[in-house]
Amino acid sequence: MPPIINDNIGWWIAGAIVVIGLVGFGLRDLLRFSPRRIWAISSVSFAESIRRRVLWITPLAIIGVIIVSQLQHPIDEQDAIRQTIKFCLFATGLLVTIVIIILACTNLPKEIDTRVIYTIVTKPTTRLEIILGKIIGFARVSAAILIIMGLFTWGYLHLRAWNMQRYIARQLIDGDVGPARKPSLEHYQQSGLLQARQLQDSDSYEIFAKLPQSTDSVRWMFNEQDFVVPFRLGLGDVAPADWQSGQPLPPLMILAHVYTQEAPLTDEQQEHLGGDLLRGLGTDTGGPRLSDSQSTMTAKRPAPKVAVQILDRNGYTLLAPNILNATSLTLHEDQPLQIQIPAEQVMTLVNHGRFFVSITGASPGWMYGADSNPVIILAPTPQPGKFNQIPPAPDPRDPSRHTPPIFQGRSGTHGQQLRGGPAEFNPVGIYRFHNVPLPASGQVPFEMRVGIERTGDELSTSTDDLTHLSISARNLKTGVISDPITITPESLRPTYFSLPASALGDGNFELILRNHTNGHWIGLQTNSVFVVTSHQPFIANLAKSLLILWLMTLLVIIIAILCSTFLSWPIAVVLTIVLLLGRWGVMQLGDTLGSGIGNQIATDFGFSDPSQAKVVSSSVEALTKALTAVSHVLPDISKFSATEDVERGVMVPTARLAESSAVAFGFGLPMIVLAYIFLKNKEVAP
Amino acid sequence: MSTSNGEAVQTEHLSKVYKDFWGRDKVRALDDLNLTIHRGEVFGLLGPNGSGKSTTIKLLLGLIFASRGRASVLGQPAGSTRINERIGFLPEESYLYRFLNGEETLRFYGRLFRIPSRDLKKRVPALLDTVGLDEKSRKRKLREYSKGMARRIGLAQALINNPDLILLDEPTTGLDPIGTREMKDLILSLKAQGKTVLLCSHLLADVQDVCDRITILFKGKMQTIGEVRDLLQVKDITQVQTRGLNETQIQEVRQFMSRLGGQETTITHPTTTLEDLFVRIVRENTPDNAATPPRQA
Repeated sequence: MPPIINDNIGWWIAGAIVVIGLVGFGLRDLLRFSPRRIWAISSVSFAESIRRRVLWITPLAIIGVIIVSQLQHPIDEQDAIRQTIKFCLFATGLLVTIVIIILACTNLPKEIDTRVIYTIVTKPTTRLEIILGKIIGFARVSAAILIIMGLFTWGYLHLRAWNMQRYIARQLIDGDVGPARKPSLEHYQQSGLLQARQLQDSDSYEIFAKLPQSTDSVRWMFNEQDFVVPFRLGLGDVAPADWQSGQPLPPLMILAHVYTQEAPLTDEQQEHLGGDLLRGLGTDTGGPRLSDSQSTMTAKRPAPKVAVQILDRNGYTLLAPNILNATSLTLHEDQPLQIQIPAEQVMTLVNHGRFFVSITGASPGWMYGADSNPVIILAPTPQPGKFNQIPPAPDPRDPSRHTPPIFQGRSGTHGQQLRGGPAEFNPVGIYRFHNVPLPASGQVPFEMRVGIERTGDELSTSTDDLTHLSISARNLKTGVISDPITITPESLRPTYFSLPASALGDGNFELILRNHTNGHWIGLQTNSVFVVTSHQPFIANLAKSLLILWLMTLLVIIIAILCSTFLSWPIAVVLTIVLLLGRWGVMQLGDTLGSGIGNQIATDFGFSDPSQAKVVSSSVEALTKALTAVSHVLPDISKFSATEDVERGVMVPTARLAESSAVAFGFGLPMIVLAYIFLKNKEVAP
Repeated sequence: MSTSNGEAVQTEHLSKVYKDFWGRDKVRALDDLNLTIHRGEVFGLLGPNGSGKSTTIKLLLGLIFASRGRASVLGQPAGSTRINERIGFLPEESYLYRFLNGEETLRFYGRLFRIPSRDLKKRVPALLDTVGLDEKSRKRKLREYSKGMARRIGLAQALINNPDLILLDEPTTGLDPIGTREMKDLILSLKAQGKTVLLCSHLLADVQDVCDRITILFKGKMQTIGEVRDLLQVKDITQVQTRGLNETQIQEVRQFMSRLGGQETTITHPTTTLEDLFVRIVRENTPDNAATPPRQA
């Protein structure tokens, strides 16, 4: 199948249903299409819902929200607002969805049952107009509910925010605030608690042993850190010309160049190494040494060693070091590491296509360095002694060159850890930003959210010790580094700081982070630091999220009415929910439905007979494939998520509106046509 | 099927078989109906419960689909949306939106016919007058209506588009004798306007009063069809009616008939119908003459 069809199969199916349905079955009705009739039918559906006092449910929801929000236990004022937004929007979404499913699923079966439909279909009304009229009618009901709940949300949040602001002002005046909390409270006082900001996160986050300079050809990391190099591998890269499916592929060879340099040892490391030294571990360091200033320490160090493994595209282990026989490889001067990828594992890499080669420093007291192209993979050719060189994957920002190695910190609970301590032992975290729209002058606000772990006490977030983090900016155009500022972030709470716009140049800059508190480990991820690039009124953000919610209810209505054209209302309700949540459910199962589940189930159920096991295995595989295929033509309701952004005070991107509209109409239109065809061919007299 | 533009309704071998879940025949509701209803006549569809009357109407309106045979209405295939512009239908029960009031109901159905709003402003009150719903009633929700009022608003919605063909399914059900009389008068006035009326009822007296032709269905089959007076006429009995004879003169008439060879001669004073008596008494005792006869639609 051509890629243009294969890649957009859902859209093609949707388009075919709409065109065939309307042109093939409904051309006459399409020509008789009357918006006035549709509006009349929608008005009756709307009036029926209103006069049946559907809207009376909203005061109950409002009372529920108020009670629950009074019982909450927020960590601070911003969190109280965040939780209130969550309750309001959750209650709104739940309320409108339940009401709409019930209304839309029961309406048509009830009208057929009570025979009210007799007086509609015996008028010059097409079935298409009936379907559209009812959809629009219930869409008006959902809009009414959303407007009521939206106005309540806006009013209630402003009331709470006003109350909180007064409380914050009182705290600051009384001076009853700790040093860690004060900057946040001042920020809340200045910026308000109801915000809608546009945030831009960094392009990359790396941790180095020392700050890389633009002239450096080698960048460095401490032990326990690793650098990863991305690769793309296709069958054509590794399979010989005469290779046939089912045959094993030849083994591959990883060639890695790792530099070493002595690093100062902390007291703890020296103490820890003492036992090893007594056992006379090696003193031969090997590898190129860029500095020998710590020569007295050299005698005490073990040999520099690394571990090599292969990670999948999500950073999970694909081939562990023990499979590669690379648990602890000693580095030797001017000799690259050679690691063989066993033949039986090569197909795994080919199937994954994209993977990372990860090299981890394994010996303390050393820094491990890599240049811009430290790893290549060799594939054997038919000519003995000759290999194909497979370079790293192209750099996404500059496809003309290979992706340089990415330096990572040790993984902790909250992300890559930035170790704290004296300057000479400190790694440095670098957040790189590109093309950030910045003001010409003044201060540029940033927001950061980190998790802090303390030595020997992973849950010690309650301790009062402050964590001191210095931040400076490097203008990537000029290379000038600004004076550092020091902040004291709290674990798992937002921290706000600002830097002068002049230090950030034209929007291409790096943030340089150093943790100065010994025994504290700051967990950071790529999206832990944001630049606030613009603001929007909170009400505009709320309106966008409600509009997205309305688009979702539109889809719910369409599906519910489709189901009610051929099912009784209780079954229609169930099927509507299944269709809505089907794709999400399959996505939750995730890798469970991947290749190999058939064998796993056959094994788990103890089928010892190979023929029986094969039947079970292939049946399960076929079912999971069918389930996955079906789920792909179901609507992706994750596209309707806007609540989280409003909660976080982040501007709901306009692209989200486009995405949710695409799902609502892309899936909704063919469903409307199907509902029309079903109703057209249905005998409406019971 | 050769549809005749001259006929209001025409069916050929029209049959309907209801099937069960497995697709097996369950009930043969209508069997090979060949029927022609001429334009401008009042036609009665008679039969006991389950004889196929409602099934015939549902087939003509496209509410259900024929298992076999064909039907045409006003020269178009039955069930065609376009022909619905010229049809008015009063269902057996008044299946209307119970949360709307009388005026809203008529405006809603008027919009389905795309009648301009300014025309609806005139037509809605006129129709409500025609069916005898007063100012107070027309503002009440339909769920508060009595059965008779519901029939009246049902009739009004059937006439909102000034149809050429009106299908009335049990139109007098739930009506009191005055309402029944008004309904029959209305049917006759519709006929006078040249409209075709298909009347489906099992109240034989009502049918007899207003229908030009009737058919009787039984067990889904058409048993007979023809003009009412032809079907009801007893050919071997002669009836003479006159006014102003005294008992002696009546005796002479009896002897005269006997001389002519007449057998089993009966001379009595005719009685009026109970309906006529009821209507007369009510009208005589209504000072403001509230129970006005229906005006023309």
